[in-house]
Amino acid sequence: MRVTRRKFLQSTGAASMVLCGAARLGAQGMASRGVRPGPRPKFSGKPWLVAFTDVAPRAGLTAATVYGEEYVKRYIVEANGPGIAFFDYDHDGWLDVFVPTGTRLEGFPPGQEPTNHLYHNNRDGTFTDVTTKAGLRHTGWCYGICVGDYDNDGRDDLFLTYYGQNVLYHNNGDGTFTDVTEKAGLLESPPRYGTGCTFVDYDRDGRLDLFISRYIDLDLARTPVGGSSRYCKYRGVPVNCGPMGLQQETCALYHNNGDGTFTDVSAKAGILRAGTRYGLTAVAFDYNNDGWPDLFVACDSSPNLLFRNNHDGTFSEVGMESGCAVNDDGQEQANMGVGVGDYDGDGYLDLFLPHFSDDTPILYRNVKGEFFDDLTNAAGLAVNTQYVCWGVGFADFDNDGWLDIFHVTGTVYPEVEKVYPDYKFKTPRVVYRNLGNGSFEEVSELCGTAVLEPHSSRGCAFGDFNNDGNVDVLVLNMSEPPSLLRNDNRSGHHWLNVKLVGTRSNRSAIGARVAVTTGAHRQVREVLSASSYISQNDLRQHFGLGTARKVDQLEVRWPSGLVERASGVDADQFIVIEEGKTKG
Amino acid sequence: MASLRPQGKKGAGSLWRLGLIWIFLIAVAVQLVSKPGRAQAPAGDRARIAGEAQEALRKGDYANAIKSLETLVKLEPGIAEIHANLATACYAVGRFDDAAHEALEALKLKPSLTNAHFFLGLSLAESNRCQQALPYLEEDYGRTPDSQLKRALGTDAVRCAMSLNQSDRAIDFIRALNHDFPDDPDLLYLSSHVYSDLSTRAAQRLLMTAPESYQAHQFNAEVLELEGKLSEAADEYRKVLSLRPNLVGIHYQLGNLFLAGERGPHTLDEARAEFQEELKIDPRNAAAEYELGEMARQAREWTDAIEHFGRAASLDPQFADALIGLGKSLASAGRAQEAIRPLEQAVTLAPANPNAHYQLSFAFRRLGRDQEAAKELAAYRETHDKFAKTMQNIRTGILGNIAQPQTDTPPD
Repeated sequence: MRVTRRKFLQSTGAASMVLCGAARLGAQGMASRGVRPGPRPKFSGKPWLVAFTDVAPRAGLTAATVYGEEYVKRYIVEANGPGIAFFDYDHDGWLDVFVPTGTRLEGFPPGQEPTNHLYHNNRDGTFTDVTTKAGLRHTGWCYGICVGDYDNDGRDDLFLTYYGQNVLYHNNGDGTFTDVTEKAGLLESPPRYGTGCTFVDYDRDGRLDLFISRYIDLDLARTPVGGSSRYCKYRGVPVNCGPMGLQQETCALYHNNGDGTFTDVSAKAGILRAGTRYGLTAVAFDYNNDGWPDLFVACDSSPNLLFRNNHDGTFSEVGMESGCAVNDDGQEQANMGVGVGDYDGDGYLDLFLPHFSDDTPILYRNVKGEFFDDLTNAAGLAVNTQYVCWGVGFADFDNDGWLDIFHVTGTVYPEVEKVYPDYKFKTPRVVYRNLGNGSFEEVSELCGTAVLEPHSSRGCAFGDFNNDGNVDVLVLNMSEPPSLLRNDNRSGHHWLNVKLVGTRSNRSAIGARVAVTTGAHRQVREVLSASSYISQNDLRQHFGLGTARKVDQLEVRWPSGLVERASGVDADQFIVIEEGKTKG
Repeated sequence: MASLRPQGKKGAGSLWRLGLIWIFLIAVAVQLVSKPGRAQAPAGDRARIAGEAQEALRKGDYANAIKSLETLVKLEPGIAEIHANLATACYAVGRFDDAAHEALEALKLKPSLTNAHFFLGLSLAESNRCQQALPYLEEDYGRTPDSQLKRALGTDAVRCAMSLNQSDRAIDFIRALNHDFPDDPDLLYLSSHVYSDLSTRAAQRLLMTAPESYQAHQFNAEVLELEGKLSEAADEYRKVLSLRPNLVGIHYQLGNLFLAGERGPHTLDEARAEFQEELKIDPRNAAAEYELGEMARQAREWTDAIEHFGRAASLDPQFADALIGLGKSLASAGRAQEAIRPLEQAVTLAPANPNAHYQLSFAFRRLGRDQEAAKELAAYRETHDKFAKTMQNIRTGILGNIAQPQTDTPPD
């Protein structure tokens, strides 16, 4: 008996039922599968000694991110929101903070326009807003952030994507920045809807190139306002339209000419051959361990892109062939953010992407760089389907040597809560602890009120802002100031923090691979220009070492190809490794 | 039951009727010219009136056409063709009783006048005299070579059969119409209403005649399940089991209810127990085997998954999803070579299923058979895009195009 009566009734029911089903299919927005959460595995009982405290207010991170009206989003451009960045712009070894902002469609009176903010770390748990002094005042719909020293002058520069003209800021080294977008040849005509960005030295010439993902070919004048179309409803409530139904966009790759300018090589490098998507977070990492950086783009409601580096200045898009474009059932998902990390310690970088509500996140295990296996259910990560998810990352919060997962949430339809109070606009953060056996368990409720506090969050960045050896989290909240979640880890585990400085390779060491071995356990990190949800993490690499007081071996594989090793490195310290100067 | 008349744009019904009129009008003038004058009016006058009638009909001026034809009928009551044309014109303006009367008159005078026969059935049906109409409609549906007329006769026959509670006859006509006009939206709409109506009638009869029967509880459970009232549905299924402990399919339904509802730590165990119970009662239940396979697959228990999917596929060799599950599990268990056969079978059984192609492509890729993998991936993309396009068409067809805002706000 294969066709049950229930299925029979469903398939041959009244016309109204069929129409009702068709109307449900028409529910627009981001791809969602109507998936129920999987069962929660029995709690391991292992102690979790990590709690987060939101120290943003007392740290002085007080400016709210403006992104359209708070509770009415007429267009998708107001709803998605930006990333955020940990960014040591003055290279003093203390992470500074960059918080982008949007604007409002009707604009602001002169002098009252919201701006992006750069906060300088005062090394005492507080920050000072240095935006104006740094020359970074800018109003617009800022989305993605990536950091990298594109001119190898020893100072990390800043690139921002916009719904509108993207901006490249050159770091002048004196606490100020200069907008060099035009000079660098990065003006777009007309401006487009940039979202993700990442610096990447794709041809390994020692200079950072630039990759940009775009979201929608969006002209507000031609786009229906939220709720004006029958298409633009969620659970029957009028909401902003898209992305489904709107035109997808292409990605772009710019080659660094070495003279402060860039050349668009998207066609020549094979990027345009992949066609269009609703591109969001872009991340460059070496998925097949061949020493060449590849490019991954988390795409909303369309198949993800994985550009494999062909070692000759071109890429082949292999997302579908590699199994990370769609889920295990061949269905696309609403991918906003992406965490990259070797969660199982096999030396290959895996991916974790949370999604829209009514869908599980997805854990793609990288199988020897050949393909990705969807292990979401088996890893115990299918337990939450109620959230719309954004910024995400792998980080070892309890320093036990295994990468945990953190992601933020928040819906894009604030209007729905007014009709359905159970569909919250602001929702909590989610933390999963890595059990070290290939599976995870949720520990959000053990992480303190700062994690459970509801916000409508977007980007989040991971880094140790107070240099105490624990990974903290910086979170972008829509229409609110950011959260700075200080990790008060009481596990007593040891750690190591490694900063890399390229000499033959790009100075930011983006693309460098660090491996740390303690006993039989080997951990791998890669320096990434951007990940999470269009956000920038600490460029330093943090390792939890558990009970080990020393690292048996530390290995750095530089983008130049040079491999350096050191042994017997003491735990619980920040070290700086300059390319070519390691004495193993 | 909602109206069974073909629905369409406003006025489509009458336009459709007018389409028929032109086909079946008879050249009355010819009839008149050929007949010797035997009435009071001179032949010239009759010819003139006939000409006026023809001209009015040509212009779609049915009021004047009817006026002229009624005059002619008085002048020449014995000419069947005039009655037939008057019937046609009356039908065109919705005077169905008059149309039926004139068609009947025409047939009395000339029983071989087929168009009068057609319009008699149609007019009787439209004037809700279904008992009388049905024999005409039934007879004419089979013999008319004209598709437009056949469609009209068929839809009226369905409507009449349903109103007379003659479901077998209605279903016969629906079958015939769906065969003769497979993609006609009016007829698909009509069919969905007929089947829905039949289902409702059967359910009502079941509930009225045997409210305490296990079948009534089972039906009620299914309705509650469709309404999303899962807990109430489960109670109803349990009532069924209390009446018929070994009834096939009920434990399977309960297992599905567990999977569809809120999941606690024991949900999967409870669902599994129901599927296993189902298999004790009905060892040939492929769907229960499939669900057990899927639960094992999600837990990465490959041996169990392969066993259950394998049994599901052998119990029902047409069960493409079971073959896909089997192939996926074999490939994940490192037995990609063995996965190829079930996945190829799944592709053969369900060539339009993107997932079948996707899984086969992945299995080929695991084996390094890149060319075959690429071929299947292309098939995946094609079927996936086709499916996505169909869904998009449904969306835009029902909800409108996102790029073309609509001003109306329909009920949700």
